[in-house]
Amino acid sequence: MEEFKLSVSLKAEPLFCLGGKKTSISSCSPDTFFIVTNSTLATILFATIVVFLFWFGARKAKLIPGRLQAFLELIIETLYNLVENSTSRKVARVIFPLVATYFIWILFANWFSLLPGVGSVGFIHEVTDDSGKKLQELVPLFRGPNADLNMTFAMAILAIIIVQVAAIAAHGVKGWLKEFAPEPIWMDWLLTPLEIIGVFTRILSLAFRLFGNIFAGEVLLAVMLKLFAPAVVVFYGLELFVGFVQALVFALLTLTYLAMVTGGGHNEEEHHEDEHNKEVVTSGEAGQLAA
Amino acid sequence: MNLNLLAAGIAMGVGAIGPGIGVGIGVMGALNALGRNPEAAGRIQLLMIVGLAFAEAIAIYALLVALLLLFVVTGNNNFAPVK
Repeated sequence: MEEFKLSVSLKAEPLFCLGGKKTSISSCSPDTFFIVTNSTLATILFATIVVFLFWFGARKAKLIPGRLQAFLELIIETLYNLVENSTSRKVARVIFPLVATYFIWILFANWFSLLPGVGSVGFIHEVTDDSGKKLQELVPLFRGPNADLNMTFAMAILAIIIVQVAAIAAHGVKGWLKEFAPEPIWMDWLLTPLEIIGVFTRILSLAFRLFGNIFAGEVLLAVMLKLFAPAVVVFYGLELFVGFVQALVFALLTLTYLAMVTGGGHNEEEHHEDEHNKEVVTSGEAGQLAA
Repeated sequence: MNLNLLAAGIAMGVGAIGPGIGVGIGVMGALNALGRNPEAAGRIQLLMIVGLAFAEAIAIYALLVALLLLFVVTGNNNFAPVK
């Protein structure tokens, strides 16, 4: 029986090197102008599925929804309440699409990457290890989108750029620049560089948190399969949970940064009182009307 | 003795101490707040999850260093050769 190598690759393995050739199992020759990796393929496929799902559910929106529409409405409504509770109604309308898209996309990408076949079906290459032994290594056809640092970095950079743009839109360029010069002005020789570094730290932490969780989850599943196969069931459940939580955390952090930058901390308390009172009143009225 | 493997073990082992304590303190704070104000359960739960994500991220950074040492650095022999 052939011996298989536990194939864990930090980089996504390229499937097609457009313009050049594949030099080894995970790199292309320098004259390729576009690399299609297994992660790219999975991203395109899963994104198409998600977009199609939501388009199909919203297509003929009836007042009394069918099952798919009700399920999608549940997701959207929960997310909208969450966004509205953190910021004012005006701001929520603007930033809700971004936060909801981040949550839905990351959630579905994480869960789809647990489907049988993703990460386990692909092409077999023969490699020789250092002692001259011939091993078979698997290059999967699909790889979870968030298990590729390119994807998470792109989402993180985009999120933080949007946060800065929102700050400029809410307070103007001067107000935005004032954010980097907090209160004791004589301390700003220290605080301003720290604030600027803080912006880049947020990008790094968002990217690496999501990538680390999902990639480590894949490695964990592969290693458990090799070590003690029945234990994979427990870790599969863990991966489902982790996928959900990481999607929630990414969206919530984007929401928090946007709320901090548009509302300002001391305004949130008053807005909270208003929103809570409004919700109590309307649900009471709705109850009386229904009865 | 392969120092890369040893370094990977130490990185993850030591790097999990801080986040472990941090997660415990975070959940303790959340449970205390919940005990004092059971009505705010939804908000507390949400904020706890966010706080846990921050603490957990540090452990993930340590895990990433360990994985880098194992799977990207050359010279780890039969465990995971990199070509």
